[in-house]
Amino acid sequence: MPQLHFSYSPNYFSIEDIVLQDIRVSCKFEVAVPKLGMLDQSADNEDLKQGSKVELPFWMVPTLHAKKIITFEIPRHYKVNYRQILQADSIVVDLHKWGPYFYDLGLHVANLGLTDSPDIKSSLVKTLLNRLRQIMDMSQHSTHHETVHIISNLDELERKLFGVGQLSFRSYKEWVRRESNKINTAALVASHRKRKFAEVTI
Amino acid sequence: MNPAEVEFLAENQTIQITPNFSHDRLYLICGEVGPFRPGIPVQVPLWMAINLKQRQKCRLTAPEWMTVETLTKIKEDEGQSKTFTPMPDDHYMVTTQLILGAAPHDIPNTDEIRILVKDIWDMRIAKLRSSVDAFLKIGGSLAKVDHLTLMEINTVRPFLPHALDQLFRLRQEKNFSYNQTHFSWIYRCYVGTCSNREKLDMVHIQQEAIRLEQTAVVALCDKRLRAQMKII
Repeated sequence: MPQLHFSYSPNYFSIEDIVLQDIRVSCKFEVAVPKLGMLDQSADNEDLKQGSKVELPFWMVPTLHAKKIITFEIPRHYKVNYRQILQADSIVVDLHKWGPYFYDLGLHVANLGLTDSPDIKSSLVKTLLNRLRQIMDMSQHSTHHETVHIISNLDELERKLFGVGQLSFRSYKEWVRRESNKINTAALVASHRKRKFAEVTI
Repeated sequence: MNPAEVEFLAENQTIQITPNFSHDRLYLICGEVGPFRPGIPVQVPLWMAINLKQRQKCRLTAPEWMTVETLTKIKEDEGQSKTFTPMPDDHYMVTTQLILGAAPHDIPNTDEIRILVKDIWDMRIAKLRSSVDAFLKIGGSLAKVDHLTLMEINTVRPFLPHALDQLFRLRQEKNFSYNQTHFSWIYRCYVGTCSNREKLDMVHIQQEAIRLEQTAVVALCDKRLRAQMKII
């Protein structure tokens, strides 16, 4: 079975990590920063005044926050009311709409050391636990066609788990039908329509 | 592990056949297989039995547990027990598939046996899934399940460890400020390289400190390198 490679944990080089941190966060600068006036489109100053609000990408936030240059608002899906929605019923929530990388971004947000961090973390863990049963069941029982409906509600991490489960299910089914022993032409080659040599020579 | 690999491991089991040819003892890597005389039953590995059957050189004898009565009893036990009951054979699913695929006429009641084995399998898989689910919900760290066969374990195989890995990742406690941990680590590396006087190491430490934005350590490395260059 092919190994599933996740680029794990806030890994500097993981492409997923880079992509998911692109989300915009609204920040307020606590100190005046000279010559960065262009970041704030509403004011025309050359310098960035103290207290001006700017939208920055998320990957800039940890460093600036650690140096106490900004205060920021966490992305809204991790706030209290959304956490309460998750607590009420995590299974029906459409996590893909809430951010295709809900869990990973949540991990980054929680690691910033805010007052909410332990709550955010425990809410992430509980949500995943609740939804795992459904993912497992769905992945072991679905056919090709229904898959699209089922995975539309899952975020990327859950989709990977779903894909893994489905792979193991499909290879079992193939084995039962005794097709894992057969050598088949690869789909790509068959659709090439270039297999004319064999037909011509015979 | 894919099912084909499990099948490969299961094929090593021995089964009794009745050959219709004559041959001396065979000395194979896995052991020796006794002399073949027509009509006299002999024990051979399953893979060899299937192969001989496909070449029409033998007749298979079903294993003792592959009868309707035994399997019905096992099915009832499995249905009544909340945990897994021991199976007559460690690879019952594979053996059934192989034997019933290769030699359906040598075994009596093949259809019923197939249905019974499939029912037993479905029951056990359902039990396995609910126990995995219960395990995840409790958040347990250790589970002990007896009497599971390899093929059944293989159905949950990549999913369960990966799910647990992701849960572990989400639960990990991380230091609040990146700076704190990075600083202590890079500073320790710096102190370590101070003593061994390798300039190249110091350059590497400085590069790493730049990547981690530890300006204090960058300045220290800088001072050190300049001092070393002046000496040279």
